[in-house]
Amino acid sequence: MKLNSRLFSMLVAISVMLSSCNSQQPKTETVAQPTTEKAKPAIAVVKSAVGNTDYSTYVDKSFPNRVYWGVAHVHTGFSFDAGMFGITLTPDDLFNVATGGEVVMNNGVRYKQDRPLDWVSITDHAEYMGISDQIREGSPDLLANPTGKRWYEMSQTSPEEGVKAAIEAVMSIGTGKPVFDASKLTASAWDHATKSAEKWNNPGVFTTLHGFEWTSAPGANNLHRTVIFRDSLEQVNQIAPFSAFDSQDPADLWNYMDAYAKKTGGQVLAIPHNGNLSNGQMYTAETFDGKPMDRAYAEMRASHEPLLEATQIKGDGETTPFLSPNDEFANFERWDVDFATRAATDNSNLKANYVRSAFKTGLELNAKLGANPYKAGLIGGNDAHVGVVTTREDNFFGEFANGLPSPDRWKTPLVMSKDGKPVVSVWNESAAGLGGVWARENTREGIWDALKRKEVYATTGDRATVRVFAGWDFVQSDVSRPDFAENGYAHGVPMGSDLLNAPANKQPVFLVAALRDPEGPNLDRIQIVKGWLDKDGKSQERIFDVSVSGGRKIGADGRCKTPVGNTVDIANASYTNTIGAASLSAYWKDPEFNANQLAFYYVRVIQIPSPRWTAYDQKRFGIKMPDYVPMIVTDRAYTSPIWYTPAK
Amino acid sequence: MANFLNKLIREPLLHFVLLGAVIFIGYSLVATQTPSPENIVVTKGEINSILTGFVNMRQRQPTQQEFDGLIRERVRQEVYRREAVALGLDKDDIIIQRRLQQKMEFIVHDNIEETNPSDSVLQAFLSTHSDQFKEEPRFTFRQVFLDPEKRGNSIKKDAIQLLNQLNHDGTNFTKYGDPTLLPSEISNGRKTEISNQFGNEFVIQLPLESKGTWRGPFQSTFGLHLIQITNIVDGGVPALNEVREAVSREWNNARIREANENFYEELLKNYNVIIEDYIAK
Repeated sequence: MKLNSRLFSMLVAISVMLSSCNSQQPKTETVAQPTTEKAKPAIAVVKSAVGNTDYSTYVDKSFPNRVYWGVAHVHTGFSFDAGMFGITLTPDDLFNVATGGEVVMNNGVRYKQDRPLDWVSITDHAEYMGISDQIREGSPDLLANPTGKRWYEMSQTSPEEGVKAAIEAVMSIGTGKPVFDASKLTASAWDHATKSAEKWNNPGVFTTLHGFEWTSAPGANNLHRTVIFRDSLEQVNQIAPFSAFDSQDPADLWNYMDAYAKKTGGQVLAIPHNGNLSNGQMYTAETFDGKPMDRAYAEMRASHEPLLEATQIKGDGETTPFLSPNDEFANFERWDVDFATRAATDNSNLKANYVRSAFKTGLELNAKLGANPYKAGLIGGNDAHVGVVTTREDNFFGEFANGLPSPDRWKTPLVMSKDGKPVVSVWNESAAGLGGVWARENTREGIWDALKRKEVYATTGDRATVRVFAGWDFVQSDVSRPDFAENGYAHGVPMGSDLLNAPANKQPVFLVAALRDPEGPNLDRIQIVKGWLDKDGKSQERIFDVSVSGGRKIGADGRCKTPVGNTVDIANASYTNTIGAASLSAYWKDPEFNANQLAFYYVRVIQIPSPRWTAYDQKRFGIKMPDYVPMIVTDRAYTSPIWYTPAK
Repeated sequence: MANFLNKLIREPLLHFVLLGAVIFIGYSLVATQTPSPENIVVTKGEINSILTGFVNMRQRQPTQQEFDGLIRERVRQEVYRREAVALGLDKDDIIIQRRLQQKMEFIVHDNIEETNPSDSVLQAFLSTHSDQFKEEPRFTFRQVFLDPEKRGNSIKKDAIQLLNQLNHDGTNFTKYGDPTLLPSEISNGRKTEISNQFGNEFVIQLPLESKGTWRGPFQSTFGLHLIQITNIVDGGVPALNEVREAVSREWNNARIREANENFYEELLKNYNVIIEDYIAK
């Protein structure tokens, strides 16, 4: 490059000025990191031996004693469907906000989280990763390609045209064929993203896990997975993210994960999400090719995918009224959308869309194959594509750039039917998706190992604490012991585990305790959702209320049909914690237990009603939305299940 | 009005007409001069880079015919570039302008990344930006919880009574109070961490000096707490060793920002900037 002499001398002056204050000695010290014990799947409580001279009773305790809050699913401007919609925030920006910093969003509005997070895995799409930067810069590599050039020009014409280009990119992912080879872009974006994650990882304070999203969507049906690594920069940089252009078949993703582990000695897991948008494809009884699953396939799936994402902005994934007609809380933030026909999902496809029915299908397959492909825990993701994590009703910044706060964001359509009517709009977005992780240390090992052993749970955005233990010998008073957790681990198993070896004539006993978010709504009730295989080998489900607030009674049928009430003042977007309870606990025996039946149990904690984000929009923007837009939400938490398997 | 202008600005026909006018005027200016031929030199370096590009893409050397074609294209590109610049076609092109701006910023960026901060530099940065790196105070304490749900109106009275008992029999503190998922002991917890568990209301009441005695009751969003603080580690500015990575990151960011700003300020000195009156709407 030629520089004119004036410019050149100026540059020299600047660089001299900058370097004169530094000596050139390379840095040799490294920051000491706490050593971490590899977490074990079964946690043993060390009993003090005779003659033990330790004064502190906390020495040697190794069981998880804290919930660490985070997400294993969120996007920055590096994702094509964020960047091409105008999001320019980078991984550095996202980590900055997650640790308590403030940022100016791409609509010029400032954003800060209510509280910092403990851990985050940024999962930008592997497909066209980093393309948006190239579009913004009009990079020569991109412009050399006709499609790249056209997308660039569209993005320069108007925001609407830019969105059209982004939609073209989305559609090309549905075909599995890239419209141009972006592997060079992806490699450089992956390098940038992983370096950023490494920089922000701060053991003991804030954990970053390297990750990306594999965006398989054959025929527009969502088979997406986030892929989460336990390892260091050095390991993850030996590979490039696996994309849907490499393969749309999840079995190929699992092979890729195995190859990574073999090559680097690292560990990696995958988390499927948005089964609700898979049109009956996510949690089926078949392989990707439509063949019946065999045992090896079921085991492969379960070992690579220990968690399912149960809830996020693009709809809740627990269940739906069609599948769970007796569950009055089932109709929650649903997105039953078939992306291919751009219409409501056909009822026949719902079973493979939701996690509760996936757990039931898992039991049926387990009976048939001897392995359960859906023996997986539950976690909340967020999936925001605006460059920050946003899960609070009172601080919701939307899924995509078109959902950033504005007076008319609520009516912006996201999917239009073939006759031009909105099928889902921004108002359908759910301010949701956090993961609570039970661990002892906030480190990569501490967090990732808890994900792997499923000792995690999902919330729809708030931070309620939930703990559950199942065992055979718990007594009523165990639930109020000061050493609740220590006793729970010593004589039972936590969420995400197997309950085995049923003694004759005993029922499983569950100890459950829940504490509301210190800055959130009170709790309405604790429920246990049970699924089991009946004598005909058919899966069944039912709900037990096990603890309810406000002196209400649980009937002989195990249910409390009296609602908790409602304090929401929609006009002022406010509520009071004058109903419900700050904490609830339960001692519960399964009255219908049959030692010969496969079963799962998970805990659902329901909060009292609170204003939905749309109510905050109405108040803050002084607008009025039509009656079909909900203004009240009952946020909740879902734990990973505990499975019971009969002895052979 | 603004709407109309917007529409006009996006009108392709207008672009076409304007562009035509510019080219016509530009060309007639150039054409009136008697041209003395300029040299176009395709340097060895350029040839090498063209070849490398070809080999990278095709995984083989070009044939003679391909090679000639590549060079011809290079010359054609250069001729057009010079003529386009001479006509000022680069001036209204947002792609070119952004790319040039970016290249200028990269010049600064590249100049900076080569240097490695020494300890004394980082230490100085840490001292002058101590607020950015200040650590929160850490508390070690035990707590006994009183649940308003269970105790109703007698909760305050119970708390005072319990406080007395604890100050006589503190070692068995876990047998007092009501069951809760909140931890009975926090060891070296950061203020934020404690706030995440007990809520902000509780944290702001935490006394800043440790005493062996049990104190309280302190109100949290959950109920009342009696606490015994056994240790407080003051926050304050950490040693460089503990935050070297973060300091180094912020130091680098700061100087890139500063250098870009200085560079720009220097360049700006060469211009008188005139912004015409514009009243929106």
